[in-house]
Amino acid sequence: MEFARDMHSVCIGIWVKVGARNETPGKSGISHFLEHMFFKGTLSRSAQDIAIEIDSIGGEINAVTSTEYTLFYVKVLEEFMEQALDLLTDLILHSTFPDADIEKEKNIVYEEIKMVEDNPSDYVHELFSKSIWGEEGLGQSVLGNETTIRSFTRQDLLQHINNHYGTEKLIVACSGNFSEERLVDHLNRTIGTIKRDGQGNNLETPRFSGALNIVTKDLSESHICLGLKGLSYKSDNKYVMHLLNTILGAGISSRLFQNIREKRGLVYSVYSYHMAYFDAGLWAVYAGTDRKHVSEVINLTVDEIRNLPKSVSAEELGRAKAQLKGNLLLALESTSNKMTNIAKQEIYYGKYFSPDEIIQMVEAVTLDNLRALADELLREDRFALTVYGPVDKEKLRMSCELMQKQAG
Amino acid sequence: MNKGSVLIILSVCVILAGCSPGIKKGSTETVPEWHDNVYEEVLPNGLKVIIVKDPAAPLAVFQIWYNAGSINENVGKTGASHVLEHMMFKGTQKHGPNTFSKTIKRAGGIDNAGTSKDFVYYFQKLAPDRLHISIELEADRMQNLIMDNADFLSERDVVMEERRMRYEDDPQNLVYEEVVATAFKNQPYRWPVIGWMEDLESLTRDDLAAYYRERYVPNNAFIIVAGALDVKETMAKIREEFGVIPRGHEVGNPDIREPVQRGEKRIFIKKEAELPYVLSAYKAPNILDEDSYALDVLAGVLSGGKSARIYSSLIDEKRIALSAGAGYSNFNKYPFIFYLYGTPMPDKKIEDVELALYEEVEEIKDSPPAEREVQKAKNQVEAEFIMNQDSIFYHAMVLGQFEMIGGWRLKDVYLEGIRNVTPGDVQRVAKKYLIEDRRTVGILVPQKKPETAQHNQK
Repeated sequence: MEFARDMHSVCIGIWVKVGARNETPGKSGISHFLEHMFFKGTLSRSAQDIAIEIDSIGGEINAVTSTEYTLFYVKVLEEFMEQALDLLTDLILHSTFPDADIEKEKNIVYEEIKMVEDNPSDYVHELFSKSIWGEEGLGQSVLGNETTIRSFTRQDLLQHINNHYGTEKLIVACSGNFSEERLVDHLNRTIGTIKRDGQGNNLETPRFSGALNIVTKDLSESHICLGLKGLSYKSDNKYVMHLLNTILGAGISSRLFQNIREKRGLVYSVYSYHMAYFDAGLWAVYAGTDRKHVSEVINLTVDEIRNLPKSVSAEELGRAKAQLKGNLLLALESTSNKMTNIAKQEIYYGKYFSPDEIIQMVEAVTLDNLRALADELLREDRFALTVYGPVDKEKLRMSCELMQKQAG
Repeated sequence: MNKGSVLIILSVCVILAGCSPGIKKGSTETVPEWHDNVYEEVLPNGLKVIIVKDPAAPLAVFQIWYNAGSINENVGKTGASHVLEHMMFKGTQKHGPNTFSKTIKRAGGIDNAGTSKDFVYYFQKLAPDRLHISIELEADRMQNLIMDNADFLSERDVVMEERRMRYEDDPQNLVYEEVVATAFKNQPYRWPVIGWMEDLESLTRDDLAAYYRERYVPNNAFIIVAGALDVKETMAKIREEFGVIPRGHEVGNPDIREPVQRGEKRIFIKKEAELPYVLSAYKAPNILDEDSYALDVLAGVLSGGKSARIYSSLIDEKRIALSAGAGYSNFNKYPFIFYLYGTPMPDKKIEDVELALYEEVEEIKDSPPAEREVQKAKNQVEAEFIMNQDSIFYHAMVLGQFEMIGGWRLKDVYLEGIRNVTPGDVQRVAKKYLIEDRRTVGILVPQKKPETAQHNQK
């Protein structure tokens, strides 16, 4: 819970620690499919009732499924908090999942898959993830595929709830202007009554594969994803990682932006990101460029990463710290961001770090920490690369193989 | 209120959904005054300053808005406003190349900019005690931009890449662009903010320099500052930095009117894509027109959430559409569009989706919507409007949009206008504006090519 007295809205989220990576390959996409089905009606409300109720108070109710969690949330004006909570908890506790709606939803999810394919700068990340983490576990797409989706039954959904919606895996987070007493009281009467154990997430630690994956498609741009094995959420080095990533490719003053976009004008969009999971991580760069410049952009990116350990400077570290601290505070400007922040800390660390504590951890990072981490991440020097676009496959493959060989 | 399509282009990598733009009144000079928590003053050089005092806000926002959007460009030079926006980050004589964003970042802030059909704006979010950095830097780049030719050429390439990504590889955006270009044959809204590729190719550094000198002047701009601020101190700093910049020529906006449309226009766009798509756009007034409130509510009745008519009919009941809806682009300086759109379910035809959308419109023309439907739509508009203002940035943004269109005080009139809409009003505006002869329809015809994958484990 986090109070923000000067805000007009309140945001409540119910988080479930289950996502695409917990699915067996035959049931790929079921977490996301189930998330959709929670909006199809409860014992006392039809799908239409749910929609009318939330729309009438001008609120927002929605859900998100990711690789490691599923989130259901409402955001409303403070005066409607209890009404919204009533609705949200009813969905989680009393959804009925009618067979007819299951069949209908299959078409919708199937088309959702196609929609992603119409957005190449998103789709390339899916191809990338699959080629790194494989067809199972972490590499599985959140949406699933046509075959698995067509196979889902009501029994599968109930089984998934039984296995994964146990009390151990549920977290409620709330942020905004609200009464704690009324919130807790309501939750005790609703979500608090769940008595379900569920099964643990026995996950195999995923293996990072530095694979080369080229998919040709007649687009205007070529989309490139390139990355190294990163750190998990558990790592003590997470703020060193954040800072290193900020210097490499987060924002306008980063190295990649300055060198590839500002100096050479080769791309519109280039950025790096670090994706942490419970037990694995990926440090990657995305760039979109004209077909003629694919090899050049790849080589420039690889050079920037390889140069980091010996060239990273105190001035950059100072700027990155200021940027990261600023972003931490700026990101907490809305009740939905605040709610997400406290919930993710609970999910991944099991405890709360205040903005001040986080700032202290960021401040403590030294230049030697940065160099050591960059060296460590580059030790294997095995880059994973996915290119999606109008490229000459053979030619590109040769130049990329060259890149990997130089490394060895 | 922002149900619109994508009009604002931010220079880094964000597109804001749908808000747009407005009319800048001539620089009538006013006596400094307070209005609730808003302070307003016009400097002698014509620069208007609006300060919003919000003691609870943890950070401060600085925005400067120029009346220099794509409608101010000349034929053959489309995209100039947006390329200039990119160039504004390239450095000044005083501060040297590429220092702007670095300085803001070092101060723990973030900055960006956006260009729309009607305006361009630049902003920073910072701790309140660092606001002076924004004021100095923005005053500096209003007059001292370097605009080196090599930088320009490289940035032009960047923008072409942006165009490829946002339009040429995004089938639905491409349809939007073509529909707007067909709907308007004279009014400058017809060309896209990002510009036509052919115009970008021929744009020169000197084109931009002339545009910059003409439009980046104090009497063609206004500033909005918001946060927990000392107004006296802030004004003193603004006077010191901006007060010395000389007034420019009065530039205003082009008086180019759109001739009456005499019959439906229909176009087909062939493009490699997975899903078909239809976009049907009607000419409609902007927020300065009394009818705009009822049109806003009409958009809500048709498409505000899953309980609204289009979703419950086309998606839930008839199951012919995968996605469908309506939108109204009202925050513009000039009249623009009200639109319907949809994507069919597999095995359904795009024609059926289009017809079903029109059936929903005809139903409202035949009998007014229920009172509760209208109330629901009004509640949605109002809740969104209030919740957005939890963010000090959006608070400033809303004021800026109203100021561009006709004065920030319209913000108070807006909710009042929405509250007064009746079911009869909704029916009346549907009859008045959503008529076949005033619409332009674009249909995406997906072209499929085989895709081949190669997976080479190493």
